[in-house]
Amino acid sequence: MGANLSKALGRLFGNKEMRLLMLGLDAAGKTTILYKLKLNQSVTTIPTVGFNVETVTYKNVKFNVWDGLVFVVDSQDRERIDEAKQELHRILSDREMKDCLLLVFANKQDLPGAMSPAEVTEKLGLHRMRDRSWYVHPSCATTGEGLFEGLQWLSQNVKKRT
Amino acid sequence: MGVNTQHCSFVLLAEFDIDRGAQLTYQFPQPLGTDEGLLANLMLPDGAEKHLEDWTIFFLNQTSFNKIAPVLALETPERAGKENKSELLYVLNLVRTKHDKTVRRGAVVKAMAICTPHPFIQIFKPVLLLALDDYFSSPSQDCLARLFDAINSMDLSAAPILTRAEKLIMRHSERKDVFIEKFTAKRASEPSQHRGRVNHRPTASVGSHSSFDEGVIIRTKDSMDGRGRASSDTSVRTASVSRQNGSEHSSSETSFSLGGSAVWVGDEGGSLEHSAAPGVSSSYGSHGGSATARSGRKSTDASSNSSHGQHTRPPLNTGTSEPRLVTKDTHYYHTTINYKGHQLPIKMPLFTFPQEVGDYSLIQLIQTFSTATISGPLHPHLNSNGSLTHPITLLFNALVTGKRIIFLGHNRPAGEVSSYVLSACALGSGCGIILRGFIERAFPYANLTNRDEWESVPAYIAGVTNPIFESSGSWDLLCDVGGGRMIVSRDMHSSHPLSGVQAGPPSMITRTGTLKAESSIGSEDDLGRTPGRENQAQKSDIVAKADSADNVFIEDIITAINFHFGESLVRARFVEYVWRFVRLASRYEEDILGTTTIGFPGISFNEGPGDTSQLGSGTVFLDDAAGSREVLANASRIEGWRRTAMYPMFQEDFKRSLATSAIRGFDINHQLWRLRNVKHMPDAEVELIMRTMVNSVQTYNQVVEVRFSIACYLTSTLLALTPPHNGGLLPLSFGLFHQQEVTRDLTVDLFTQLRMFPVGVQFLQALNHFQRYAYVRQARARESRGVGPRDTSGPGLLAPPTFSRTPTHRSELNSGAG
Repeated sequence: MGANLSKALGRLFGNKEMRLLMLGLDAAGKTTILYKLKLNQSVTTIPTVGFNVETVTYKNVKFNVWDGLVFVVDSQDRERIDEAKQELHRILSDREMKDCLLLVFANKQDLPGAMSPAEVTEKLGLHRMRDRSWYVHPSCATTGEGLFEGLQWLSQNVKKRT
Repeated sequence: MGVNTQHCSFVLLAEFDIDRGAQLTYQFPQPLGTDEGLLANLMLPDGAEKHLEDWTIFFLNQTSFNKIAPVLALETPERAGKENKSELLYVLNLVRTKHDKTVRRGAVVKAMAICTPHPFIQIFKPVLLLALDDYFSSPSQDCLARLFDAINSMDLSAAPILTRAEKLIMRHSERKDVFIEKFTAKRASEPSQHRGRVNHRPTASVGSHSSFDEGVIIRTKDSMDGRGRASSDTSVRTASVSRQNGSEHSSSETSFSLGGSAVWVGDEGGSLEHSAAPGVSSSYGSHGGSATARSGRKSTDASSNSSHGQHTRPPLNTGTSEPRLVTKDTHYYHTTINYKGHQLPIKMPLFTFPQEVGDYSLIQLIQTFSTATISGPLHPHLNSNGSLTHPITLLFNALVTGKRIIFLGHNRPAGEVSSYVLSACALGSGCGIILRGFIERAFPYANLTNRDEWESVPAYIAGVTNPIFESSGSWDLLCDVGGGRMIVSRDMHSSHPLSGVQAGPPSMITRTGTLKAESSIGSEDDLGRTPGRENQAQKSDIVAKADSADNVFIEDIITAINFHFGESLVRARFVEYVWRFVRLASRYEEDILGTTTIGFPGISFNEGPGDTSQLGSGTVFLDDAAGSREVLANASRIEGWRRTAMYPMFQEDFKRSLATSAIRGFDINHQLWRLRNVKHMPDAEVELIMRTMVNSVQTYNQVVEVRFSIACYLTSTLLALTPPHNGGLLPLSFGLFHQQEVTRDLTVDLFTQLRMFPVGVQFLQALNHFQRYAYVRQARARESRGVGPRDTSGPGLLAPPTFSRTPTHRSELNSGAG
């Protein structure tokens, strides 16, 4: 299945590799998403120190430009959604992030009382972001639901831009 | 290691906070005055949570961004006096992840670090382990304070301080008792062997010390036992040189106990001692004792050496025999750290140099990368053997030509990449013996946090775990630890354009008179094998030869590793390799520029009338063609090296060594090389070499140095299967068989002088039987002729006793005969 997933990703992005940066508050599910994609395994994670880098791309891409930002939100954590919003806007204000696509995973959809994608969109203040392509997609990292669709949006939009 | 030196300057504690990231929680005893976020991120490397435990190393005070500025000056009087602001601090860091279901998200990550001025930081590992454990169980600043105090109360004050040459001998010696005389109060409680010597009973103890059977002893004596005795009285544990007195006695005893077949050459006059420089008088303490031994020696035959021992003994150990500690191996100074009532044993290595940090492993480095695939463009600085350049050679070339090197270990512990970086520093610097300027630009663990800063350090050598660095273009050579890959940057040619002198045969200044010779492993190949040599100076036209000297060398090393030869041999071989490189560079400068500032000028022996003969010097080859070919093969990387910051440092070191080395005025390596390699040396040259050596090798320091040169030198010619130290005095010993009597006599004199110091005795012991007996025989003959080594008053010699070999002799003999 892991191999199948990689193949599917390969088809998705074609030969072009993409450089994605995945950020989010702690415990949002970044490491789980990463290793679900990489190994198709749901890993139990402890806080990641520093960075996890699993796929590195280098063809046709300059180092200091990110193709896409994947921002992961814990949809159940209503208390910290505002903090997440501030972080997101801080990240996007960085010069290196100027042109990059924004994919938001409204993660942990399997949990009771999780915010819907629309609610997350609203709480993150994305509607006011007009000069950037963004997309919010519901996901559940432990099962892998929604991850594929999110990445598909990224690949399509990258193709459109280039 | 002065008493005042602080062993631990700071203790740091960092924790990974889930909300705020890496945080520096404590700095003890005071803040370092540098960026806390930087420290915390270094202490908590990327992916730390994936490993339960990880040791990392980093440095402070390298460049402006990690310069520390504590509010209070470091409490080290002698250091403060030296205004040592930029003195490097070595940081040993332990990070640990504890899984704990009771805490938020199930794990805690904490790190503790020790900042010390000592490069041998590995000795602090046990105590740091305990201290971090303590902190996990009861987190408070007290843990840091306890650790700080425990380390700083460690006593290294009695640790012998070895000179450079002494360290070099120690590295090449596998004897556990090398320089035992330096351990004032330590040696005697050593179990049977030394105890046996001390007692010298012709009973069981004979068994133990007769294992040194047929050691050749020529005891030079003087009439100054008073001096010897006085010095031994004061010899108890002072850090000064004079404390060696006491120990010298017993070490000469050590040699005495070589005894089964000891041969004593008395030298009543003691003129030798008088001729010695005052500074080394301590070394002569040993001979004070021997005067009293004289009667004993006369009264008995050498075969009953025990009675000599008896006589040698009395004045010697008055002050030192009691407080004795165990010294199992003189390569290390044994002490303890008292941490919360635990006496943690500490083994401080005595033979390491400042560029050697931690317990690095050249073997590991070589094994990991010798099968690496190399990709990227060829560059003359790196590909000294074209497309057939061995990966290790490529790495060496990158190191000495100042390329930016990254060791990448994705998903590897940060400690692993650190270790590769430190090993690489040792590889390039010749274990810190030949070149310097590596550690200063090394970042054993580096990460994204302050990437711009360390990447701007010229010729950095960094270890990273984040694969993002592979796609960033700011390195010249990337060594992938996990993938076994080496990648040369695509921008190599634009970032390191070739300029300056390119060596080609036409531009070589033709030198006649210098005897050029091989001395490199691969140079026996004939001229016919280098077609197209003339145009090889250009970029990628470098001729690749599968059997180039470098390839043969590396294969040799790999074979040795496969045969389980140890790290010390591999280190010794690389020291010699780097040494050879700078000798070639010196020769290259002479060939291209006409003069060199990093070596002796290449001059051949010049026989003149009377006293006007002149010894040769400089880098030598067995034949001109092979020599210039080797210089040529090295030309590009030599040029690369000459443009780095290492070059002026080496220039300065060479200049200083000319001014300060104990043996001055002639190129001793050149002479040894000649003795070793040249088939038909003019008699006059041999004689002059021996005469020069006899005249120069008189003080302790000179003896030490000559030993060093020999040891260092010989490693080149020994087979991989022979430990490097065993060749010993071999080339010199050929002088014992020279056709001219005067040369033979000079050689005997030289050996007799070497013999006056324990360290020289050990070297003489390494001669084979034939040589030893040649020496003994001639020394005796010389005496019976009434020509003492330095005067004519020597008494008769005693006959060598018969052997009494027991199985215990074997090891000793074997190593001696190697």
